[in-house]
Amino acid sequence: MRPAVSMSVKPSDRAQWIAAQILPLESQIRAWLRRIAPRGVEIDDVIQEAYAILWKLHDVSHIRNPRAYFYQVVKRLVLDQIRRDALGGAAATLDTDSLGRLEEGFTPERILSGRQELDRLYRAITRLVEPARTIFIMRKIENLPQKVIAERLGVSEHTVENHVARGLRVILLQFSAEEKTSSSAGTPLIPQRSAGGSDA
Amino acid sequence: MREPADIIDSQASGWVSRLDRGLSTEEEATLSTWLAADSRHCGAFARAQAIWRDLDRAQVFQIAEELRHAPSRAAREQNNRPRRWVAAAVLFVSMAGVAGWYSYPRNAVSTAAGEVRQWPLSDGSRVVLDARSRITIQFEPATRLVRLESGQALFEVAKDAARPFIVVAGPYHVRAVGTAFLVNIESASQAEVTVTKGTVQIWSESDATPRSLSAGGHVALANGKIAPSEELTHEQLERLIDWRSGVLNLTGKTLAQAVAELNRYNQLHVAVDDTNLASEPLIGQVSDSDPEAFAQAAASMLGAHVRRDGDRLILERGGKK
Repeated sequence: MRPAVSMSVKPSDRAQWIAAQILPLESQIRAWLRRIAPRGVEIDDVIQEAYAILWKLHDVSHIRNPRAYFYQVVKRLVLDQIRRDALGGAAATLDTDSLGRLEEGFTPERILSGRQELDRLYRAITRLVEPARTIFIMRKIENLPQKVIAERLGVSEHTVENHVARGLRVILLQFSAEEKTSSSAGTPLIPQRSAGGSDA
Repeated sequence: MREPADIIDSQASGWVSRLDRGLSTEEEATLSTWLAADSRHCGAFARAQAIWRDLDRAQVFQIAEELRHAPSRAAREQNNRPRRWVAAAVLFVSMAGVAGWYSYPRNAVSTAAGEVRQWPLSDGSRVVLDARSRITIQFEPATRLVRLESGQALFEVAKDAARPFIVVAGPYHVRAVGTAFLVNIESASQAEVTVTKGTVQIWSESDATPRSLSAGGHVALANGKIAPSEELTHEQLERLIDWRSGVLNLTGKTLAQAVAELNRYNQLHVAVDDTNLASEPLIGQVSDSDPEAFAQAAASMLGAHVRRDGDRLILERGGKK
């Protein structure tokens, strides 16, 4: 997309890249993980680790297909976690069935459309309880800095900062939990090769 | 034993909020330590930052609320949000630079492939510029002129009755008069104007009598002339502003049109060497940032296949599958 800034990707650029390439995929990846991951695999942990890997990458300009890349990262993390747990004699067991499903791969048949993503953002903000809602509208829709928001609302900057943090916390949670409502996404262009129907 | 993911998320949210208001040197050090302590801290922080960043796109709802049926005026007033945007305009242009028109260039802003950006204008209006687009802004005491030189742009116009806001694209002029409207200009002499709310006035250099067009109306402009207007459905209106949201709507477009649009957003270009193929209609929608997926999908829909040639993906017929 944008020209590769190979050496010095600033965190904000990386955040942008993740926002554009990976976030739309996250709920699908989570749904897929719930389907294929053996018991004992902590999905939230896997997702956090996967984002960490993307964050720490020196350069992402070589990643032609971020979806496939993210999927590979997640898959590897699941396998790692299964191995680790198996060594520790923990609950997660690697049965051939789940391994097979893991190898079968991930087909992102229902990526959120741009419109749905925007709707999701809008919902995320407008569902917040006050005063976080007002603060997020001012910060994110009207693009006012925290300092100005504090002045306009007549509260301390510290208060605004706390509400931003709490509101964002709620939104993070919505982003992990929203896949159930978002499954009616854009009309797929081509009928997906049904992945074998093995996971009824 | 392991820190629960939701505790980490709380901490990450705190850091993103602090980062947003600016960190002290001491805090920067604390953040580094925290990030280094556990890779999941880092991942949660990355995700929180990305979502925080993603939320910036909610700014389009300033416009969207106008473009749709201004859904919740009550809610807006409840939130003490100033109702500043009285007009929003979307201009679509896909013409090669047209020279001339005025002799004193002012602020020019442009975007690269795949980049959609937003700028505030000095009068309180804002412009959202689509990929590979360029405008020049020329604000004078009596008028606010914006010239769209290439690509497409969406304007949110702040009300100022004494200073009309006029968007010029090729030979066409569109004047905002307390409205929301879309303009789609396809070449130096071809354009379309769609009004979603209120009324606009349209004229061209060769036909200076302004024509009014009101909500739901749509006109085609060609060769300096303004055709009779027709009505558009809500879905059609929505489709016209989809470019801001990363989705490329294919329905109603030919392969050639979809390719032209897609190529504006991406470095990797798609080419169609067969004119019959190029005129085939498509349906559905795809991500506007994934030419490969688009090419594969279009190929399977049209019975063509994709050949990679350097920086281009060529769609052609005649292959086996």
